[in-house]
Amino acid sequence: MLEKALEVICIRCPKGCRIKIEKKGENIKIEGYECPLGKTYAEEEITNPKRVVTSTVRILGAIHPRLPVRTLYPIPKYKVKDVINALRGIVIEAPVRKGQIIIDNVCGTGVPIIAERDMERVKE
Amino acid sequence: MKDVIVIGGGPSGLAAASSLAEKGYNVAIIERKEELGGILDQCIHDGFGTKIFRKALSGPEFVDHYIDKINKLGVDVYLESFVKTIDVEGDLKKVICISPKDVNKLETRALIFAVGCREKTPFEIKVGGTRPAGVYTAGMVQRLINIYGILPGKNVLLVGGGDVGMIVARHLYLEGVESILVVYPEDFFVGLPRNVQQCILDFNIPYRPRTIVKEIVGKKRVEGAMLTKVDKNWNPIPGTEEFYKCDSIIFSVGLVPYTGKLEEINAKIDPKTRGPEVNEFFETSVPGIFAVGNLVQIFDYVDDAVESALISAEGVEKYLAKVPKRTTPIKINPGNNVLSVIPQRIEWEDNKDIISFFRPAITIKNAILELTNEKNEVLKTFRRPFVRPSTLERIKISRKVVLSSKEVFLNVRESS
Amino acid sequence: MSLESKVKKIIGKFPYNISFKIKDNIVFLEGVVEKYEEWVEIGLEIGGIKGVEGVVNKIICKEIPEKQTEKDEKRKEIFEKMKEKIIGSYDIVIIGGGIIGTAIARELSRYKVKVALIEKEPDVGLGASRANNGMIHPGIAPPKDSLKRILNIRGNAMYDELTEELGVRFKRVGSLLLITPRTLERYKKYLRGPLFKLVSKYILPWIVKQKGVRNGVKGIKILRGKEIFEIEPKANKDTIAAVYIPSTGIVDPYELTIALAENAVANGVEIHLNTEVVGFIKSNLSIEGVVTTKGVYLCKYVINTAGVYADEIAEMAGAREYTIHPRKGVILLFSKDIEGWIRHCTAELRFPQPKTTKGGNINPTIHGNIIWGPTAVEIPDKSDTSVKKEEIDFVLKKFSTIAPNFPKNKLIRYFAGVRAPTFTEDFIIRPAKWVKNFLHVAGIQSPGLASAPAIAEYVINLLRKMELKLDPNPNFNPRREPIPSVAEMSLEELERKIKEDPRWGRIVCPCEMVSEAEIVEAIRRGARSIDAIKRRTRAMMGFCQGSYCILKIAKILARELKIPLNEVVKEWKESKLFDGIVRGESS
Repeated sequence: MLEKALEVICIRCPKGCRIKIEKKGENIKIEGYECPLGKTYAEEEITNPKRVVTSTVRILGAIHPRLPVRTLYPIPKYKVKDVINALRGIVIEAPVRKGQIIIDNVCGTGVPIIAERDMERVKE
Repeated sequence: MKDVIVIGGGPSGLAAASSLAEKGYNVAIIERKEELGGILDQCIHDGFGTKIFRKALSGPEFVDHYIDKINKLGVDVYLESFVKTIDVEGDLKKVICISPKDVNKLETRALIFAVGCREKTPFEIKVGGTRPAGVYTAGMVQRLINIYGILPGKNVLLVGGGDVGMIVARHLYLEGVESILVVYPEDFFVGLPRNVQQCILDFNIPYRPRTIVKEIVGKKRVEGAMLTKVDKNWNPIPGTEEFYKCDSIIFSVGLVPYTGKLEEINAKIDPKTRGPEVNEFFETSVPGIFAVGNLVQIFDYVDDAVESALISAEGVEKYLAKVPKRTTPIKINPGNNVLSVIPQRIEWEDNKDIISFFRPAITIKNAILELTNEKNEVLKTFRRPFVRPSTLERIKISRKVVLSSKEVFLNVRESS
Repeated sequence: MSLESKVKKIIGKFPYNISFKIKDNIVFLEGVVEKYEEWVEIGLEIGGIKGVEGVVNKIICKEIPEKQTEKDEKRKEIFEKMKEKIIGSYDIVIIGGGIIGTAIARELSRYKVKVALIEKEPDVGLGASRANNGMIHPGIAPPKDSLKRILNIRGNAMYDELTEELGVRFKRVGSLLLITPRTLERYKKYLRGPLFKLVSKYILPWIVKQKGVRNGVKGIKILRGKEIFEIEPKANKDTIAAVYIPSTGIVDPYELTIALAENAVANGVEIHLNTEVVGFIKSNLSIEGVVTTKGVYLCKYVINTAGVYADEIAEMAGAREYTIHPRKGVILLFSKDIEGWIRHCTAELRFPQPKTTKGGNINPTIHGNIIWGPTAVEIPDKSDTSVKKEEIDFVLKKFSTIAPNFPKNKLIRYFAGVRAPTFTEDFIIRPAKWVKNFLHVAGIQSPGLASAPAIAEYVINLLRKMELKLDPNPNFNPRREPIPSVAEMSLEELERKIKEDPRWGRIVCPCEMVSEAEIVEAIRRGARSIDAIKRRTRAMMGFCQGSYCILKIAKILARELKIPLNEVVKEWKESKLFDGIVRGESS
């Protein structure tokens, strides 16, 4: 029985091979890659695709009204939208330091959301 | 009197400035914004620094590395400063810049331009129709979303299949627009595969290849666009016009080097790159005036832009030390199937390899890059599994290979 | 032949059932035609009859969807709602805040009269006044016996003093009419051998010069050979001869409109923006009040300067004596970095002038840009300022014979304006025939900008004849200070200004070198939108067209008006600059 099939574009080099992947139980069939890097990429994409999520949260008292943030490590792809939604309503007070944890263990991924930059408190 | 003034506090300018300051030169940076970092402050996505730092940083994280250096080195930084005029009096360069604090009159021996590029407007690609609110460029929208937390509209049409467009499309989708469509005249997205996968395909964002906006529709605010299919030469196919309803149209149709001030001091501009002509140490046609980063050539990777800046810093050292140049420079020209190349000339006596960047004119697999001379002799060949116009190629040329030539050409052909 | 039979003869040429009526030399047409061109042609032919003082063309054109009824009903509805709400009592109400309305308002502010200028748009000068090439014509073109000729010649001469008083940039750059091998191409077969050159080089320029001289234009010179390229080095090298007219000038048309409005207001005129006329309160043969979307302006006199809408205003007042047939002009704007490429307002003469492409020049602008156009296309929709790609290509092709090596890649923007001609094609400036206190100032097309100051003066005389008492306003101050421009300031002055206020040193628009202080001042003077700031400061007018600075300007506007950033508008309240917030969060 066909469990899962997808077509991806290999991101490992600018060539951008279109790779077809089919997964039946433990068997993975991969077609269209032109180098070993493509094959590994395809395997990851079918078994456990992960992405770094980047976005912003509201910040008060800083030079700009938004603070750029991201997940410290890649998180499962299917949780990307959940992570974005988890940022809704978060308000941070300046100052903030680069790498400062904004949300710990976001959406149960075990990965924190961190600040991408310093933002000083501005005198108003 | 400064040894060197760097105009532009983005990644390239900061890299050049910190490299020279580390070596003990008296450096100043002039930056028009209120903080250092250039365009990277709004590039909050990850993927920067894969060549230099071997990891995928966000824009602010990448540039922070250089801002930190500048701060630690105590480089003079003029923020919110606008360069009004530059006078070149041989070795002496006078720079007048305006800031909310004062009018500053600075003097320097060398000058590095690192002012980057601007976005092409819809007018430059002759989009017809009306001129309502709701028409943007992609960089403007990226800033709007990531710095100000504002979306341009609810139903968005994005024009262009390059990296900036795709990245902005993902921001728009994730941050909450109701609909989005991407159109572009090429057969497929021209940006990095990584962005096609992670910005477009990951979220099933709809796209239409070989499609352009013929006309913008709407009197006060955008009401839609007349789309049309185009053939492989980008000519509209009659009868394929279709009205697409949307409230915003975002153009991501290319970047153009910001050469205004360089033109004022009569630096030669290469019509192919639209940036200044430079030698192998990124010196323009005006002695002591250097140009780096996206001002010279739109780079695909910030890492490469930074490399150009670091090379220019070596050039500045040579210039300040008055190292003599060759009597006649060796010209580097785009040859067969090559659109443009930098540097455009080799003019210093040195033993360092020459880093060249060029843009292929064709898309082929198993490409051979050939360096030939004026007698059409092949001096050197390089292989690439794949080349295309939207990917800038970088090669390293050993100086001794070209030294006996008057002129060299870079060519691309298919492996036979 | 009587007027009736002349009209009948023209109508007979068209295969339609068209009926007409003539009252006091005004011809009213009714019927149905197929094509819009025919609608225009009938009107123009009848308007061309000597003795016809106006053509009201009520012929229905099958091609054009009818929208007037809907518009009328909406107006009626508002009229009923507003007719009791009195705004105030005025001596004079001017309808329309374009270059003509503001020039008249400023002229009236010299006298002790209470004046209201009402404008339906959120700023002055949003019609044809902002979308023309800024040329102050010398007066060579209008027919000898036209009102246009008199007012053009007079208006042109008034420009030095007017612009000096108002602090508006103006320059007499002069114009050049090039005579090339194309000029008499059609006649080449009749003018054999050297005759063609002789006519082109000597006879034709002489004829053109004589026409100018007869019109009253001074200083016209004929240039031949090297002389041409000494003053216009990039002109087409084929040029055989050129007619040089020194009095032609250039001005920024919206800068002038805004300056006139500011000076009028400083001298007591009220300008009411966002105020649209929906009808009139009349008693016997006079107007007693102008009913608008804001309420009623009671008044003694009404001046109709409504541009393309002048016919609709006249209709509402019961004073319809003409129909406007909108004529679109597309203009291309080139970057300032090729300043000086063309130094004069330069055109290539063509005989006969191809009907669809008449007019148009390559001109320098007062700010150092170069401008091509305009075209001349009859369009049914008065508000259609769209520009088609084909039109851009057409202009690029048509004008390239003037200066063949022009760097066309320096194109930065294109736009279109809609002229307001009537079928008699001359200006219609006269008291209404059937309403006592209504003054027409209609059909103001080219050379309307050049004529504007003279039109204002002419209107004052007409008002006197209409028995308006005009006593001098002792407090009238003709001077208006422009917004200081950092781009034009000496360094010493800039240093001094920065010490007073650091915002003079904060450059917001790098392309045009516009400071925050200039933007704040524009807002203080009434700019309420991004485009209003643009017209007052030139911010966003450079190569990047605001892609770098528009956000910063929006931020300043939001701060000064104390509104959120996402409520900033480009021009109208319906043209919000941005229309959404990230994840629904307000920042």
